Order: sequence, then C-alpha cells, then structure tokens
Amino acid sequence: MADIHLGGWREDTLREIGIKTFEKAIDISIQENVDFIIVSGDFFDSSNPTIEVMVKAAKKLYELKLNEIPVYVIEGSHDFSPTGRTILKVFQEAGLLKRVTAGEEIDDRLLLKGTVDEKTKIKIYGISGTRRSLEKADYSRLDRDALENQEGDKIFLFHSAIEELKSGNLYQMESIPISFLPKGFLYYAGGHIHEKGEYELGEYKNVVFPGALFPNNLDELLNFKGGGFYLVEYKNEIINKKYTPIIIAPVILLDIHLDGIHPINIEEKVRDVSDKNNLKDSIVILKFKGKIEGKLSDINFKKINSYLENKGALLIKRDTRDIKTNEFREIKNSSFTKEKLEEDVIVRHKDQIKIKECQTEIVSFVKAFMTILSKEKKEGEKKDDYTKVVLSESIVYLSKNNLLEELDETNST
Amino acid sequence: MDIVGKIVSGDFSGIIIRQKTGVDIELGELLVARENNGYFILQVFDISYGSQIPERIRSLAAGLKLEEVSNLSFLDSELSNFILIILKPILFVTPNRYHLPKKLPKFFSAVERIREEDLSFLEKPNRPLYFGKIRSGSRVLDIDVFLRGDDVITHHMLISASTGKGKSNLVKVLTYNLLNETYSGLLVIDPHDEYYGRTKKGLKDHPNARNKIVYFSTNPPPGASTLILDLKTIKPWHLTGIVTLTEAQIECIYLFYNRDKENWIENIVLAEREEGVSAVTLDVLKRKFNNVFGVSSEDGRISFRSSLFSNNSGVTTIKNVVDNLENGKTVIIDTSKLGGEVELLIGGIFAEGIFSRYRDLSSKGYLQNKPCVSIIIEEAPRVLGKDVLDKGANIFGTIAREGRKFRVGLVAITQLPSLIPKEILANMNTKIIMGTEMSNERSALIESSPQDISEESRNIASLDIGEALLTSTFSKLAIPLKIPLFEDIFKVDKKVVKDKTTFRGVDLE
Repeated sequence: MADIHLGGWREDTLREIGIKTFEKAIDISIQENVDFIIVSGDFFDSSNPTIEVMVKAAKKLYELKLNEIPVYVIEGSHDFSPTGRTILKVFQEAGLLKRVTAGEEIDDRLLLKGTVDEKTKIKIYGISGTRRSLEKADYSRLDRDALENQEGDKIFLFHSAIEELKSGNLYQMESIPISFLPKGFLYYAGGHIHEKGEYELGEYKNVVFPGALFPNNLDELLNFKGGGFYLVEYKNEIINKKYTPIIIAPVILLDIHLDGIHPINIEEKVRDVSDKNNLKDSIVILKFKGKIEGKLSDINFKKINSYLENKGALLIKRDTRDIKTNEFREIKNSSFTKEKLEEDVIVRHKDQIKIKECQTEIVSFVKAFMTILSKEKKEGEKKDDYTKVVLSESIVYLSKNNLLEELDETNST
Repeated sequence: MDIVGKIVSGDFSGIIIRQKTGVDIELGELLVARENNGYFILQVFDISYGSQIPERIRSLAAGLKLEEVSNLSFLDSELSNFILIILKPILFVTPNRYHLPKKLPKFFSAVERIREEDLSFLEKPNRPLYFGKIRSGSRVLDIDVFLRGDDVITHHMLISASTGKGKSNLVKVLTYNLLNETYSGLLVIDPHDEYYGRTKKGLKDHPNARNKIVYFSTNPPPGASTLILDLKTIKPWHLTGIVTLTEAQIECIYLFYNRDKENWIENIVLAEREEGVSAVTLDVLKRKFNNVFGVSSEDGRISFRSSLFSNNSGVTTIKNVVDNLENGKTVIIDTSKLGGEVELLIGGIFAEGIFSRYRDLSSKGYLQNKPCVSIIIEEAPRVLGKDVLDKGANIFGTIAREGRKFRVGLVAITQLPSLIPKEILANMNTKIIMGTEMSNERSALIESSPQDISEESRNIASLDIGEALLTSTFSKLAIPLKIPLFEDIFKVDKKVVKDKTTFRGVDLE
C-alpha cells in the first residue's frame, strides 16, 4: 500500500474515515495472513502527526507485530523531514516497522543496503520521496549495478512519479525517468501517485502504484470515490496482484445543474437529486454546475446540509468551482500553468520595463532574473551565506547583461 | 611580408598571378593584395603552369631528358618556367567596413598569404553559432567562425558531404557549441545513436548537459527517458507523407478517428468489419499498423510487439519533448533500434508537435519570446526527396517551406543534395559543403548557394576530411572552414567539477 496519509484532512469525519480505512486494510492483511506489508511512502500526512493519530497507528502496527507480519516502509513527500526527525523513525526504534532506506556512500555512489525479509528471504530496498522531488539526486548517484547484481527476489520501494507512466492530468508533476530504477526486480512498489495503476515497461515488470488508501482531497474523492491496496501473491515465480478496495463510507456524487435556477430554488433542486439516492453513512459531494441568477451567498448551504444530514449523510462536501455568477468575470486565459500565467503577466507588462543596453530580450531577462531571486535557502545554509549567493548570482547575471552601471545610476542606495 | 606572387593578368572572373619560386600555393588558399586604403582578399580557385619557352621546345627538352642521357637544362629555369595561380577577389576590406569588391587590385600588385589579423573584422555576433576555424587551403587560421545563430537556424541549414568527410563530427561540434547558448532548442533525430555519447564522449559530456540535454531512447541509460508513445497520442496526420496510404485507407482512418477519437488505432486493429469500409482496406491497414506500430489483435485484445508504442505508458512523451524544445533544450531521440519508416514517423510526430505549438504561439503573439527550434534530420532526402514529396506533403516539407515564419528550422544532412527539390534546396539559406566527389551533387549545391561559388567545383571535390565551405545568406562571403575534431574539445575544456550530492531519501551510515 502507499499514500495512507494518516492524519490528513481537516474535517474530523474524513480524517477518521482515513484512519478507519487503514485499520480495515490491516485487518484484511492479518486475515489474509500476509507475509509482510510494504508502504511506499506517506504513511502519515506529516512527519510529526498528532498524538491521537500516532496512537491509532501504533496500535495497529503492534497488532501486526503480534501476528509476526513485518512492515517495510519508506518516507514520502509528506512524512519526510530533512532533519531526519520523523515518526517513522520512532516507530522503527520501537520495532513496529522497518525503514528500508539504509545506504552507504562509496566514491560518490550511493549503495543501498536494504533489508531481507526473514521469512520469504525477499530483499527489499527503497528510496524515500522528498519535497520537490529532491530524491532525484539520490537516483542519479545510485549504484544500480550493485542492486541488479544482487541475487534472489528483490522488491524496490519508491515514492516518485515516473515520467513514462504519468497520465495526462499529472503532466506538470515532477517525475523521474524509469531508467533511474534498478532493472530486473520482482516488484516495484510505487507511491506518490494517488491513482492506481499497473505497468510493465521493458525490463521493469510489475511496476505498481496502488494509489492512495483513501482519497486525500476533494478532487480525489470526486475522481476515485475511494482507495485501496494490493494483495500480491508470489508463487512458483508467478506474481498475482489483486486490488483490494476499501469502502468505509461510500462517496456519492450529486451533480446539481443550476442553469436558469434562482438561488432560492437550489435547495429544492438538491432535494430532487438527493432523494433518488440512499445517503446513509455516505460522503456526499455536491457538484454544482451552471450559471445562477444571483450571488453565491444567496444559496442557503446550511439548509441544504441539514437536509442531507437528516437523510443520513455522514459528511457533505460541496464543489462550487463550476458555478458562474455575474459577480465574476471569466478569465480569458487558456494557459493555466503557473509558469504560463507568470509569463503572460510579464509579456503584458514588458513595455513598462525599460532597460538600456540589456543583452537579453526583456521577457527572458525578467524570467531568468526572477529564477535567481526565487532561489530557496538550502537546508542548514546560514542566512548570510544564502544572501551572498543570491547577491553574487544576481551581480553576475546583471553584469552579463551590462546592467550594473545602470543600476548604479538609477539606484544610488 | 610573405609575398607569394604578383598579379600579371586576368579579369574579374579570374585574376592571374605568377607564383614566386619556392613557394607553394594551394587550391582554396586565401591571399591578400594590399592597396593604400585597404586590402583585397582573394581566393585560389585554379592553378596552372606557365612558361616563356615555346611548348615545342619544352616538349623536345623533356624528350631528350627521357630518351637520352642528357645534361641539358634551361637557362634561368626559375625565371622561364613558373606556376600561374588563378584567383577570385572575394572581399575588399577598409578600416571601417568590408564589402564585395567592385574593382580589381592594381596591376603587378604583390600578393601575400593571409594573416590572422587580416580577418580581425570578423566579429562574434550576438546569439552566435559556431562553425569552426577559417581555413586557407589546408592551413588553419586561429580565427573562429560564427554567424548569428537564430537567423541561420530559422532559415534552415544543409550539410552535404560524401561518406567519411566528417558530417557527424561537424554536427557534434555545432550542437556541442549550441549547448552554451539559450536562444535555440534543438531536436536531434539520431539514427546512429552517435550524438549523446552513450559509450564515448558526446553531448552528454558538455558542462551544461545536465540542464540542457534530454535523451530519449528505447533502451535508455540511467537517468534518460524511455522512448515510448501511447497510441492515443498518435493522430492520423502524423502518418501523412511518411506511411504510404491509398485514398481508401486514408478515408477509413478518418472514419475511425472522427468517431472514436484517440482510440482510432486500437479500434481499427480490433475491428472485425466496418460499415462503409471494404474488408480488404481494413485488413491492409491492420497489416500496415502491425508493421509500423507493432500492434495486432490477439483474442480480441490489442497486443504490442514493440516497446515503442503502448496503451498505458508514454502519454506525456510528445508534450514532454515539445516543452523541452520550447524551453531551449536539446532533445536527442535515439532511433537506432527503429526501422526506417518508424524512425521517420517518430521524428515527424515530434517535428509536428513543435511546429504546431509554435504556430499556435505565433497566432497568440507569444512566439517572439521563445527560443527558435532546429530539427536535425539525417539522410534528408528520405523526407525531403523529390520522389517522396511528389507522393504527398509531409511535416518536414512543410517546415522547409513555412518553418521560418514560426521560428522552426531544419538542419538537413545528406550525401545526395540533388535529390532534394530545387525550391527547398534554395530555401536552405546556409549550406555547409564538405568534400563531394560527384559532380551532379556539386552542381546542385553550387546552383543553390547563397554566394556565387561557381568557380569552387574543383575546390569542393578536393576538400579533405573536416574541411568545408560555408555559404550563407548571413555571410558576405563563402567561408572556407576547418571543423575541429570533436574529441579535441575535451582536451581544451576544463574538467567539469561535480557538485557534492546531498543524499536525502536514504539513511547514510
């Protein structure tokens, strides 16, 4: 399994459903008498979850321990901490799980040590995911030959999107090419991508993303309705993968079309739509679409919620992104990536920027200069050192563009 | 002064000098004739014998030497017999400017070998594209040749040479130096997998390679991207002019595409019968798709024979390549494991991707801020040949004709430029001509050259490995070049100092 995100969600109900989903997954695993469990990152939603969440997780992990089912994990972008202080380390010290990311640096190469599952003798290796996919550096130095030459059955845990396997809607997501992974492993247990998928690419067989155990945001609730994990059986050199969905509370999507409806009549419309469904113990998502005659605040959401709660809904979420009112003007822009919007803004304002003798075209200049100025402070880097680096890079760039003199003239401070 | 001869006769089409005894002058060599207000740069295009002794006497003397023992020799032999050099005036240089000559040097002017300082007026332009060093005959001068890169790239280039004359080395040198610049993206369709440098030195060894090079291969080394395309990303027009199709087959394709959208290939392969399409057409298409995409139907499900196409991987490959090009990166596509038709299809898909993207950006007014893009195609007549284009236009032909407007240019590499239609050849505004023995190929090049190089035919035939003649709309003269050896770059370049890696996703012991 992967992307459990224990402790995620602001709403207590959803957070609780997330925890229950995890508990059920563990119960199924014990019932199925699995040899071991692997979690490919983001076990927790943060590296420092609340006591309540830790207690519940510890309880289930202890149950696994009593049943002699080891748990092998890596950190993910959410529960990773650059300081190394993560709850997973605490749980490891308590013998509740095993992190499989041990490694050694030899001649600038990264040699993974991994771990061997005592019962099955399967070797398990992994590299944690980090914020902004900084784990790329680990992969670029990874001693793949050493891993590929290891004999026996091997599993690799990773928490990164794979470039070749990304779906179109994840196009902008940072990713690594699959060639960064060692070849010839029995199974590649992936995390980070919350959508499930099974792949085979050249010498990489059984590349599996189980997706999130429970959706982690509204869009995921809308798109996936739920989550699950894989029960994998390996017998006579054949792998059988069985996806096991877990539904604690069904997700019911109610599409409410608003075109031509006045806000005071929306409640009635919701009633009409919801009465066709059994909402008991379900997560209801109201997806509103269309243009209303009035303001968004004219809709009595409180009353709508109360009606649905009376029908037994456990939780009501609403998606109002597709409601159009006269309050808002449509943004005429087809390029909705951050970079393109940024570029559009620069292009629109470029005529206001006058830089004499600049060697670079204005838009490129502004973009390049912004990149220098938006450089982030590295871990452990002193503030003074960081300031010096940004300053010196700026000076180099400005002088390359013959702009230092101009700065002196225009900005005597 | 290194005087090598004196002007003795001639006209604008050929100035004749008498070569000084003991001096060797070569075809293609650059010479200088100085005047009060400037100097002429002249180039040797022919060499012949001259003598003051009548031919009848010379023949007799030679006979006596050959047939009988004779100590016979000419009086003042060095004065009587000499070498005549025929020169073409190519430039007149004054302290302020240089231009094509409109007058002849003075009669009896002394002619010297060119010195490096005589070419100091050749400056490095903004957005430079490096070609090599100036060559005078076989002597290499320490003068780097640059032209303004974005002009050259968007107006297309042609690289022509016989086998073994150094085309690959030239392309490596051009692309390596382009990695220093940010003004251009570069798509390299590499059928021999020779540019990235998988097993030896290559573009991957450039100090900027980490940020500038993206390498796609069906068998990628660690860190490189897998060349794999989801069938859903293939459009019917990607096949146009690359895969031979009858009208009935094209109609069938569009029938499926209009109805099934992105699933058109899969549905054709899986279709048993289709109303309005003959069984023969459908079967032939399936066979063609099996050849091109490696797909077939097995028990009612699509089966993939090759790893190049898939139905769940490589969804973002085309976008990825196009985005990288738009960001000024060099994208190398290793097509060495692909068959000819598939290789061209893959190249065509990416070329169409960037061309469409740039055409779209142009219509929105955003193109001016984008780097230009160059597409390198080997054995260009496969897509730009007369016979190929007669069968139907393809994306490369479209780029050759319209690419300039959208800042997309071709670098067409070929041994056989005569196979490319004249109008496309003339559109290649920069030509790098390397040794070419076949006279019809030389003629095609000379006729379409931006400069008058009609006298260069013999010179082109005699160009040695790594020697070239650069003719361009963006240069005032045809420049003789010596392309440095790619491997030599690494003897000069400083060693790249690798950053110390901070490992984050692992627990170091």
